[in-house]
Amino acid sequence: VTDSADRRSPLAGPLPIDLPGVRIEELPFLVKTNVRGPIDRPLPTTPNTVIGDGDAYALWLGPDEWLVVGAPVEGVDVSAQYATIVLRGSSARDVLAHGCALDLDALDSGWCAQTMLAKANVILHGVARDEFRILVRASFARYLVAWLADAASSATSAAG
Amino acid sequence: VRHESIGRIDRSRPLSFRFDGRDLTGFAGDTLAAALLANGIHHVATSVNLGRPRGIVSAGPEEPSAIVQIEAPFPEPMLTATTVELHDGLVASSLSGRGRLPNRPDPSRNDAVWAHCDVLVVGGGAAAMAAAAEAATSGGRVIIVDDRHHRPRPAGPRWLPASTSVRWLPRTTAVGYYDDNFVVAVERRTNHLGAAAPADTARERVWRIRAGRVVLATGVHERLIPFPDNDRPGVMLAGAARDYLRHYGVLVGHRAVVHTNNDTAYAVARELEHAGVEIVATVDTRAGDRISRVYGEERVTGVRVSSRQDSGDRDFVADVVLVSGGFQPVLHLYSQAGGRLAFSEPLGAFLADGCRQAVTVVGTATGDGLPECGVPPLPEPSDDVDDRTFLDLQRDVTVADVRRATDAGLRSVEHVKRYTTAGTAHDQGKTSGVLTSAAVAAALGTTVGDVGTTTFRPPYVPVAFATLAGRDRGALFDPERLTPMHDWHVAAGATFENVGQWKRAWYFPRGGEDLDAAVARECLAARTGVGLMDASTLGKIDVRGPDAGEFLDRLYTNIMSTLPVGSVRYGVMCGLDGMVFDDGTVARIDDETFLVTTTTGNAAAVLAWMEEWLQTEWPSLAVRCTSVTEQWATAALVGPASRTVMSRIAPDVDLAFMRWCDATVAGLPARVFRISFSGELAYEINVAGWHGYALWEALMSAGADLGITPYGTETMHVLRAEKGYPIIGQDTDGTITPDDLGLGWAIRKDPKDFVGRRSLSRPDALRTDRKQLVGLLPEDASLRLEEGAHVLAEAVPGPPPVPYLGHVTSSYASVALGRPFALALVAAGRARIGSRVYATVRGTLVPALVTSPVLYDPEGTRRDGLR
Repeated sequence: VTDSADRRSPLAGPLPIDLPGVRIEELPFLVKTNVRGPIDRPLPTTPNTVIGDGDAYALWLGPDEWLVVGAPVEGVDVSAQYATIVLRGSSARDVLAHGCALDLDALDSGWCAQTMLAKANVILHGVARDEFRILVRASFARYLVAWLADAASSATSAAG
Repeated sequence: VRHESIGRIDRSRPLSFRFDGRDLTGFAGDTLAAALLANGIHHVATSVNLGRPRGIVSAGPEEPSAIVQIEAPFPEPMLTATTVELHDGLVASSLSGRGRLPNRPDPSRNDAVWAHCDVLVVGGGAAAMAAAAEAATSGGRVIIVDDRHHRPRPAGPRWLPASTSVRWLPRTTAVGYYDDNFVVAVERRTNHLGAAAPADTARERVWRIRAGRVVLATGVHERLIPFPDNDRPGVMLAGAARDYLRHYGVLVGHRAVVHTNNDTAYAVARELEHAGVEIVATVDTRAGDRISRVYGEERVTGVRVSSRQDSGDRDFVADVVLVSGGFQPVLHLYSQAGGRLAFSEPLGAFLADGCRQAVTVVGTATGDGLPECGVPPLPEPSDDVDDRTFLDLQRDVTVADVRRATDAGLRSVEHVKRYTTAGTAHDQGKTSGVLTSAAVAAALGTTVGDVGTTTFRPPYVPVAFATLAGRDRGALFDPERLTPMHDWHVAAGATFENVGQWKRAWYFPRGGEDLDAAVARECLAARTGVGLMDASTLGKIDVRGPDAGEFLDRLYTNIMSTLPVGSVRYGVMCGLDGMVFDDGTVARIDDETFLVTTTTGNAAAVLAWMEEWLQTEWPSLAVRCTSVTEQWATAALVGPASRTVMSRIAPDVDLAFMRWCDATVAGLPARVFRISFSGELAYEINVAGWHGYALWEALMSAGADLGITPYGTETMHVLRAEKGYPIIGQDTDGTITPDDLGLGWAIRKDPKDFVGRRSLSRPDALRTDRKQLVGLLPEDASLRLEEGAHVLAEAVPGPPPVPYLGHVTSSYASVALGRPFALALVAAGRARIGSRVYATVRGTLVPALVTSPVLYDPEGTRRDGLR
């Protein structure tokens, strides 16, 4: 009954943004589920790590809490709760360093963290060395993209 | 005056600048101070209290005197001329103590970056580079912050192996040292480019650096020597004169008198002499010589030297006096880090003496290699008000001022600082702090070590507020949270109000309507036709697990575990003190799942409250709470015609009051609640957030022929107030129990405990004169009471203290009632129903009738609509 044309992302307008060394885009309408116990899919037990295959990921959020992204599973549906922003490129790390206190250089891939990016709570997922997913409450999405665009233009300007 | 070859300036790049209206030139690589001195200008400021001419004392951030106003390219007040890099088109002017803020917004950008390293080196000299090389060679990440710009290392420290990870930040000053080796530094990125600065680059950047270890190679600050008129332009630190020569090729004068208490100034004198400065006298305090007088006001023209050995005084013609009163290691950051300082009598300096943080001091900052010269001698104590022997030039504090402080009974150097203001200026007494301590010690007959120093506080140098604000300005100052329907509201011309960080539609004016006119129209539509409100911001929490019912029973004042699947119940939550904390609805989704709503402002607080109880008090309960506030977009369809609209887009929905169902609404999967915050027939339709916009458009379209009217939070407030529904936080203030609100019915009668129950049986909670929520009708039906107005029993108050019954919490005009009305918290309010009280309207007491808080449809006949 649902026509996907009826769905509307808060980020349909502002994204994607391409700058030298960084691309900011959205992965709209991803399925996301808050999971609080065993499901028929492997869940990471090491804090702040991610198990995934490129399509679906399970993110460790707490000793008994995970977020499964990209595949429908049993749990609390939070698909529309978060917008998913992808930050990719050789400067992506520098852009994040403008608003994130984590030591991103020490993190490679397959990690996640619940932290602050600028003034928004986010779940940060290190997909690859130069590729990050930022899951942010939908109501904060436009603020965060405006902030990212501003930080990226400064992080990628000629003066660095 | 420039030397023809010495210096690191780029003589192929002359720069034009303007100072106090004079067009001047300098070279690339100059500071403003260097270029002014090269043009023979020493007098660059006027002292704040005494109006005395002041010159350039130092060549760095320790400058106590040469404070200037930058006029162009953009006004900046109170910068030290010794740290402003010269650029083409720079316009500056001298200041008298205080600067001027620009009267237009600063167009520049500033930003902040987090960085992490194993070793942070602060400094740029040989000791800093050695420490950095050692750290980098052992494989760690190294950051070097160097506040200078004239150490030319364009490719970074080139003596380091290419494989090492070194980030070199020139023009960067470490300004604060906090716990866990967290150091804040400010990088000046484009200031030195003037109008040529690229617009997309931050002018200044705050570096927030977390370091495993910090190496302070911060060097030393030379000290002044107190002598009469030691503030005259032309009196400067000896080392500064050498810096001006070495770095900028500037000869600070033609004829110099050197005044010192140590050997270093002799080397400076030789170097300057070799470059062409005539050294006319060397006045060494160790030989008992001193300068007893300075000639010249706007510029030194000579000095009188008094000697212990010679019988008489001698006058010398000179245009500069080069002073060295010894050295103080730069330990501001060390002290901020929690490091202890110990006084060395031989050096006359405070030295690092251990720190709880991982910090090492290297180079001259340790005191190594400093002359054993002690603190320079102070002149005989004087309380002469005309004393002009200065300690703190920027604050015009003299030796006599300190003497007056100690004569007034002050003993602590901290108290003397506050009494005299010595050390409180932009420079925090970098060249005079130890002298001030010495003056206190001399006056009290004790030692400098006993007197100690005042506390070093961040920032080490002044930092502009714009720099600290970074990109947190304008639209990025604070996040604006937007609902899925926000764009529709904007397109419809809504006026918004801030509710926390949310932007909520306040009202939807049509054709020039003001708030009152729009709200009257919106209320009428909701009461007689159909209205539509965006309720997406309401907090929503998914509470599930085998013990979810038991858990909610303990948090709400009424029973939730008995709620049948498919039903909804209103609930009130109290704090441990029994006072109302939040309210909302609880819906039972299935045996083990409840959906809880909270007020917009308390969404996060209620979730945190639940987690606190679950994690700290009731870990045995198997319950999980998950915020789903933004999973759902919520549209409230309100009014007697709402059923008609629903029948068109959701024909299967047939809900009784306080029931919910899953349904398809306008083709969208939805969860529909029959609940009402207006007293009218109403549906709250929830869809996935990304469907919110489509749902809203479908509802507007389905109700178009019925005149469906979007309404905002103001109309919502009026509608609920007409029904006496309280808003937690507006009609309550943390001292109100459920019974005070008339919600005694929502407190369960069985003996089972809930949070706050015990407090509700305290005698104070049972007082009959507690403030209770009532309605107020002003007797003059043209008057609207003021929210917050005091409610009094008497029309003419007696002498103070005037007994006060309570206050107006909500007040509106009502179309439904045909008159204004208010809600108020009034002592023993329910017992006063039918009686008269008084409240203010624009300062005048007016009579009002106390009524039940439920003023509209008290029988509840409209809940199910007009069948």
